[in-house]
Amino acid sequence: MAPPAQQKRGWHILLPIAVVGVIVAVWWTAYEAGAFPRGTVPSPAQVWRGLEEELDRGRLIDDTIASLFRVGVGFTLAILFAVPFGLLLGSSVATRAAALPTVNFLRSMSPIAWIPFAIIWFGIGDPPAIFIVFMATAFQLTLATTAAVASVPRIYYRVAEDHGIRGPSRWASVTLPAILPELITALRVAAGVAWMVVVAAEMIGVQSGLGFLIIDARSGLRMDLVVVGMLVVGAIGVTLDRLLVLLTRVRGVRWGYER
Amino acid sequence: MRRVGHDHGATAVLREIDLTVRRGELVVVVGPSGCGKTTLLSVLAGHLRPSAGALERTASSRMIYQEGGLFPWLTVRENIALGLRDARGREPVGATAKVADLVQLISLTGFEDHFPHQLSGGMRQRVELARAMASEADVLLMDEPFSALDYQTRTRMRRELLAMLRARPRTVVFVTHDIEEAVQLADRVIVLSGRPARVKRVLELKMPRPRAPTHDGVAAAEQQILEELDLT
Repeated sequence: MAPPAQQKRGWHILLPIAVVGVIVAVWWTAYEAGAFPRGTVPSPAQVWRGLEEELDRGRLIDDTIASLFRVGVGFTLAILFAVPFGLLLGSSVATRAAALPTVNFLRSMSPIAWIPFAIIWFGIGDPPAIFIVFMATAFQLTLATTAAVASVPRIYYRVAEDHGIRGPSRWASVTLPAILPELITALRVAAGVAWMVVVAAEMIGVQSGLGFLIIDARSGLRMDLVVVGMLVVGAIGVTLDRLLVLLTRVRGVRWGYER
Repeated sequence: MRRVGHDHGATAVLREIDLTVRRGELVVVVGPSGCGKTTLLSVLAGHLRPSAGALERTASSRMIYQEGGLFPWLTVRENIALGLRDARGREPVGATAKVADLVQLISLTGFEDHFPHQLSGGMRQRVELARAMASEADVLLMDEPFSALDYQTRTRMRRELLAMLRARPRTVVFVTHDIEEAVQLADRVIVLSGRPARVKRVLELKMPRPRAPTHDGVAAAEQQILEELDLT
């Protein structure tokens, strides 16, 4: 007999697969029984053929790369904006009081509402989508960084001063390592938002990306391809998060999650 | 410290404190909670400029905090190495060997690469002690360093502190609310009054260490302090 831990791990894999199996079985049965009006819901088999077709044409890969590129650029720009800005807001009470309401307002506004301006300012192609991803994540990350910096225990700065850590080296030796665990959590949340938003942004003003694939399939009444697009969007979203989780295993940040 | 006073906003915290700490002495400051013991240490450390009186510092000092003073993102080894750095933040030559010595001094050999959150409270305070001992500072300012620990660990830590001071003599100013701890450790006990804190009484303790709680002198000293704090 397998040891209990191993048995348990087996269930961890089998049960989720069983749940997916049940969902597909119910969907398929309902389809065969004629539960859906014609053309509203494809069958699992049609979706499978659609996936093969898209892979053969290579469009699925290209669209995925296009979406990932936009998220990658927009998200990187957001981090480059938000971390320094958050460090500033977190450490200066006056700046925080002045800027926080505006940051909060921009964070609360739907990034999708920027689409008209995105198109007017940046035309079509990658730039408007990158802009939308940036607007969706930059202010949220700024707030998270601000909160993390503001909650660094004062004692760390006193200890730092006792040991001759002053001036700019304080940022690198104290503030940044102290906020890193919270920052990584915020990055995970923001990456999820960025990925969701890019799909919406790609439904307007571009001719590539997973969002375009989905909206284009709908125009051709190919609901099987719509489902293919949805499945890929979901799978990549999960994968991105799993990759970011790896950051929490780095030696110098584990203290933030283990206590 | 001559006639030192300090106000925090409108609150008078310290009043006319006269205190001279002699080289190699272990001074324990006791007083009711919230009376200004930590403020007194901050003034001694030079973190706070007193609003009245004069302070003369002839030696460098290091502060040891109640808890949470270690950097959680650094290992035991790295935290102790931090203590070796001089005021400009430079690490001296032979740092590795010095850290190894200190780890041995606090009997944490084998835990060098652990992070603070993986240690017990007692182990963490030993690392704090080692970090302070690593410095060239002549004076250790200890702000209730053992009060977050359980009774047994606290008792053991007192003994370890005395052993460490035998191995590496330092001048210590130790703040506590624990009267038993004060009498066990001190060469001199300073009893402070409630806020604003004044020196209410100074007790010189000359009994040999280790001091058994049943020793006449120990019991008498504890009784005297209790009376000064109106706890009898």
